Amino acid sequence: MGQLAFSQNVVTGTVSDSSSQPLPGATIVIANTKTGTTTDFDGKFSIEAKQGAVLEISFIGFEKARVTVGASKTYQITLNEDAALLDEVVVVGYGTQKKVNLTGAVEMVTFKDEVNQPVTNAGQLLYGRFSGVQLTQSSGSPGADGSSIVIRGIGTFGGQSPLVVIDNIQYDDLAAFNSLAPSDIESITVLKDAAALSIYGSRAANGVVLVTTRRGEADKFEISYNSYYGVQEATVKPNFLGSFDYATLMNEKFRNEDGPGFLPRYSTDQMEAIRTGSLPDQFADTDWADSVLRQASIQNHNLSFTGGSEKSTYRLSLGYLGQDAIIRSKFKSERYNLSFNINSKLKEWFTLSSVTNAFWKHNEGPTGGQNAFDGDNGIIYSFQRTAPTIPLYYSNGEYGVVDGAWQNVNPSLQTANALRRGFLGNFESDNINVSQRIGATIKLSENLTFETSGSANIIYSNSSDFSPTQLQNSYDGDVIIQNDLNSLSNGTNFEYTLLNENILRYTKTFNKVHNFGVLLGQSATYVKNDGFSGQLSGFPTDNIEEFNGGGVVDPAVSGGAYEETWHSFFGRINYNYKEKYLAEFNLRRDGSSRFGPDRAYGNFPSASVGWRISQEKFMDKVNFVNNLKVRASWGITGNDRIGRNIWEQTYNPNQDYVLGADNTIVGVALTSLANPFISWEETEQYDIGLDISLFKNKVEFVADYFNRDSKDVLYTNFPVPGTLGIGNLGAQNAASIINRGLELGLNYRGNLGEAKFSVGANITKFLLNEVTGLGEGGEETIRNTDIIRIGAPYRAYYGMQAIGVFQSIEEIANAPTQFGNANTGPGDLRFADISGPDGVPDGVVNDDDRTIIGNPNPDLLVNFNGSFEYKGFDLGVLFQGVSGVDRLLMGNGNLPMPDNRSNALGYWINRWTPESPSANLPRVGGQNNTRVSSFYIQDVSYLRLKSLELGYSLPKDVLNKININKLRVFVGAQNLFTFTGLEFVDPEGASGSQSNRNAPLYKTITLGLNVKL
Amino acid sequence: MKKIILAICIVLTVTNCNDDFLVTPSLTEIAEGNFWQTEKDAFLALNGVYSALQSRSMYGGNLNGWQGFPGFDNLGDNAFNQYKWEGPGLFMEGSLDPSNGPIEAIWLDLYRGIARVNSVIKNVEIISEELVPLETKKALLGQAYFLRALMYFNISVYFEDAPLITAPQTLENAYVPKNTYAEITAQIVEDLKLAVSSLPDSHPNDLYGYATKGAALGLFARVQLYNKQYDGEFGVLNLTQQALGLGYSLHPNYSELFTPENEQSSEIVFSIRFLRGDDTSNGEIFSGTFAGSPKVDQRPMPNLAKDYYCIDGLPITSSPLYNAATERQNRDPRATATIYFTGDQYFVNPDRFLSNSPTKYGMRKYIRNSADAEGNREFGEGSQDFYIIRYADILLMRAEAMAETGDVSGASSLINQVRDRVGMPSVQSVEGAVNQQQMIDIVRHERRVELALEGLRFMDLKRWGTMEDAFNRASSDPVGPYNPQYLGRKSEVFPIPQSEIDVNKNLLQNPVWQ
Repeated sequence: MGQLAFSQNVVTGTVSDSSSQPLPGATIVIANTKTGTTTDFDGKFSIEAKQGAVLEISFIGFEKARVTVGASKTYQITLNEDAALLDEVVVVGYGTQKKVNLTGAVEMVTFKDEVNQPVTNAGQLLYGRFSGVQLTQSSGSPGADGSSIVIRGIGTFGGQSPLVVIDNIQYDDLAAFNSLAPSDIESITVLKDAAALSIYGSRAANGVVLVTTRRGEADKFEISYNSYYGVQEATVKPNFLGSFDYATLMNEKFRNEDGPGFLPRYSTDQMEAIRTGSLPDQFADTDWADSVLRQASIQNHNLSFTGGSEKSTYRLSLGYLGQDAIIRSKFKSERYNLSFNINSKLKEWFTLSSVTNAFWKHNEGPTGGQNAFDGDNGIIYSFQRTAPTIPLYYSNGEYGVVDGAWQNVNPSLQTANALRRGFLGNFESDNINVSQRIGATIKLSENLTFETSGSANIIYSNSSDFSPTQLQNSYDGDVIIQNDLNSLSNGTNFEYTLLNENILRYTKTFNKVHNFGVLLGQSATYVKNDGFSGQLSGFPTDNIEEFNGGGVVDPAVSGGAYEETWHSFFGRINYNYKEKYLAEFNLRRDGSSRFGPDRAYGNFPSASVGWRISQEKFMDKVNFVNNLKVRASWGITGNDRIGRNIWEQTYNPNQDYVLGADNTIVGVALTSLANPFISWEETEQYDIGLDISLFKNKVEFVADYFNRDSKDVLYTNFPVPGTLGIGNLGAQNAASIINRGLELGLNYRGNLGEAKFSVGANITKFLLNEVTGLGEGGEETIRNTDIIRIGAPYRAYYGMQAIGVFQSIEEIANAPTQFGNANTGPGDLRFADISGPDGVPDGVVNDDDRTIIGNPNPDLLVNFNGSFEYKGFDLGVLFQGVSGVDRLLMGNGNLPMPDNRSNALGYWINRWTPESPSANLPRVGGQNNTRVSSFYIQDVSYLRLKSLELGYSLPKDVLNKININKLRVFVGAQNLFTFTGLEFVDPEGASGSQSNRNAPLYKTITLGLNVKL
Repeated sequence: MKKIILAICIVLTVTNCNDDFLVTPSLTEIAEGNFWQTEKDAFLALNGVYSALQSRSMYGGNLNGWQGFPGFDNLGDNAFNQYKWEGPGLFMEGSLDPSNGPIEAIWLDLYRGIARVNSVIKNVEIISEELVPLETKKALLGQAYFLRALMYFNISVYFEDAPLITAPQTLENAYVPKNTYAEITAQIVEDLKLAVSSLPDSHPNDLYGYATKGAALGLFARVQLYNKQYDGEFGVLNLTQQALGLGYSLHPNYSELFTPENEQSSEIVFSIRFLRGDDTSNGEIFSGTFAGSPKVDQRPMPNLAKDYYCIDGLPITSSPLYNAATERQNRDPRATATIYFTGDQYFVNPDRFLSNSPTKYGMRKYIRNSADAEGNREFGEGSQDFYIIRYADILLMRAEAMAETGDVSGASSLINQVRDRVGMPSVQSVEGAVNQQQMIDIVRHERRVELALEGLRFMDLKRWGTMEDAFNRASSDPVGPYNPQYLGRKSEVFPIPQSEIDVNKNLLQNPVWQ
């Protein structure tokens, strides 16, 4: 060999696309080295390369090219557009479809690498990514922090969760989805319009989320380990009044309610002790929220093994998630995941597959489990319900339970002490879920395959809740809390679903232009649920917590069981002419045991068409357009979540009585009226869509307009005379509700020098969301804070219109009387006289003046996402937000001292007083100020940095030396920043007025590691 | 190839389930077609009627929530409903309106029970005698008539004119108008005649709690006394005469009578049975209390506390034994059995009643004073039976009928029996010779102190025509904030719930409330 052959030559060249447009930013790498460069703005490059070296030229959206350096020193390289992009396949119901040929509204996200984001449930992966999908997290309790998912607006009065299909098994609720290890998920597809949904018939009206788990790849043997460790803390820590302010306002409340002769809660001496802190056992200054909320750890580990050959592939994955509560307590949630996937082509005509997804979730904590945090008796609500004057601990080391005013004429009230509560008693729950599907695919001919499968989903859950005896004394030894009776509650539930599915697929192309696909399927499903729980009290010691442990008091059992069946036929025909004119028809015929024998079956059709204008001759010259498609769909889907056995008239055998020496005997009575005509709810949906891809698919734009008209919605408020003796007519298919909206999505992928990036945004604008009918005789349903009313959003907030604060006696005298209350005084809220018994203002303010005061559903959903890769660094961001949404916040410190114990949020220090009359805040106590009114409505629009992740992957040449394929470290954050007008609560929360009694949402900072061997 | 297709067809056929596959009846309730098949079903349905009586708004009561008859001495002058929103407090102050929830709850619960009992009566009447022998039918029907009368009597007292429904309804024929008070009363009388003639004197021990002849006679007497029917075959005098012969007697210890230990005392003629327990819905809360203060929603009024005589049989205004500073001393034992006075031993902790009540008195009768022996908390469900009719009431009803009909000596001997049980002196030794009007006053006073806080005061005041006086006594008491206002008839009858008026166009509001 001469020296020449090995000399370094400067090789130059130009990279362009098939239409000779130069490609700036394309990457040129010499194979098997770290040497590389990128093209300049004109697509030109130069690189030193030996003769015989192989240049690998790559550019996003194009197929990789390889050029061997020969004698020539200049190279003209043409990259072909990546066929894979055009051939991108989307998972749809019972199959896949080329994305360009879709005629329905379908959005899919594929996770290229195993997900290692610090999310505790798979539902969190939807945030920031999908249009039309509204997510709301209402609690930050570990193990129970899943978000509600509403697709394209609320179309039913019942459960609004979409149907979830994981590896072809259908789930009515989100439990299985939320417990799937995110790192096992390959792709998530959201089906939104009737064309995409109607193949799931009577269970699809709320939309469908399709999840496919990862499987092995041929000739790719890999061991992956992904983990992260993180610290979580509350996104918002509420700030309540301190002791002296609390005591001042409490006394003021008694004055405002009882007049000048009022008896204060705290005497002058006690006020002084509070102010000076001279009696810390009796009058402390405790910030309960600050003392209870803490930082807590979260960690996740996932280990997977993949491998396979051309004929067989497998993937085995093991996962662990451990999460502590951000509320000081012994609560802990752990989850173990197993996913096992095998595919084997045993014969040319026969393929066998097995998919196993299993999880074991274990929670343990104080008595009540998550209920120790949430709700009316929870720790979070105790922020309001506990006086700050009560110390965390008395100086003798015991928990503080009362302050020094507990025996006053207006006594202060005891607390369960949130710190103690978090460690009191024992709660344990286990939830084991195994989903197994075994399928066979038989190739009957070139064009015809038959698939059959059997699936079982088995859910076992058990919980044990032990409440110990209690004895709590005051600072000077008085017994305050005494419970001599310990008790155990232990329950078990077992549920299994068996599913058999049989599908015939036929595909054929005629004359090379007519492409046909036909699917015919049949399935049968059987569900059995059986559970019971037992209670027992009076165990000899608190250390024995099992049924055989000697408890003697109140043994009790309860339980229930049900069966459900479905029998379905479904089919699909799709046709396209040269992939230019597209059409698809779907039909499902569902039979469900939830309906009476005569009404079991229903049909759910859909039809859709598409026109790929970009494939027309006249578009040939418009070469920056890669794809331009208009599509339209129509169809009907159903919702069968209407409860069980409504069709069947039954006698209720739970009408016990007592006879003799305390013998309980059974009684039976009719307690409800059956509705033999009960049927599913129906949603008819139109969708018009536009898909555009421009500039080598760098720019993608999707738009959809939808109109969802839901009718036969189950409704129960049909009053009947109480003299009938049965309170209410059974549920009727009577109501209707409409949702109309627009979804827009825009994505851009590109390069900046060596940096690759992509940015995307989507918005969903709801144009209409309102109840359109309640059926004949159906009455508006008014709950405490909301109403179901024709012409209003579902469960719109309903209450008084507050129009300011009364400032003077004269103003009150000249205003309509407020709830007939003669004690209305300056400082009380003034409500508008909107109506009266005859529908017109009547000079009297009372319940007739209630009106719609807020919309609990957002007008606008927005998502932004971006990713950026440079050398070994990668950055990912997701923003998510909602706008035009209200919340009625009355749950935790928002009301001005509604009772004789409650504290108030810090801003109440600016309440109305005669000395400094506020125009915005009413006085504490007083009249009517705690009524549901627009005063408590807040706009909770927000934009949140949902996820931020910065990673660094070690260079390949370093890793090769230690036989590692990939090593990436990252820092991540969830919920890091939120832009909102709210100060004291997180803007994301359930629509109920007391949602701020739930465990607060948390933000998480994590450190993580991805390794591939 | 054909074989494969055949195999597919077989698979499809096998799973192509027959129609039964899609029928999954309830696994926890009884299908309509399987009921009313046996004698046992008839008793199950009868038990379902008794069960309806246990509801919170009927006799189960409550501690801080809507409740029914156990809290009804809050109507009138005996007690103050501190939680006015429970209904009686608002009614007394004249600010209750027809959409008031508690009143609606009582109405609904009463008619729920009536619908159940109508179903029992109809189905027992038509069921074949081969399935249910005639004797058993009679026993079943006797109880059903009694229960229907009990519920309609409550309707007649509190609502007066109201729908009278005596057979199961369908939704189509449920839109009924009101019947008159007289029509309802006639039905009650009919039902009670049948009940008296059908019911046995007693049931086997294990069925204690089912209505007996004594229960029917007692209720019949109450109805007739309310309607001032003293004489004749179905007058109070004759009905109570029959009841006297059934073996009932006064429980020796008045204060212990109102505890679960003595709820099967021979004094109890009929009671609603309760039994706490996590696995049943048989518990009551009317006897529940908070540890800090007795029975916060039913506070004895000062005018009641002061109406108890001293042990010399004299009112506190004239007895030398009375000392305002130590008012509980030397009083009729029924005072301290019914009411907590300042400083009384109340609860384990705090162990003294601190007068932390707006009336300065606490309710003692029926009310628990600690967690139970098993440690169940005092504010939870309890097992105290609620006494609908006890023997002392029968004696006093008879005494009232005698007094009203001029038999002063007959009345006084009955009063003496009641007084003697608690060691109070006889009429002769204190009041001496009295005339008819004085005897009537004595009976009425005796009724008040004997039966206070048992939910009977409102109907007593109403039939005596002394409701306005009672309102005045209540409003004169130094209790605040509480402003009873007598508004005439509006203070003596409940409105029909607005929801019923709204849904049933044939049902018109009581004119008093229009």
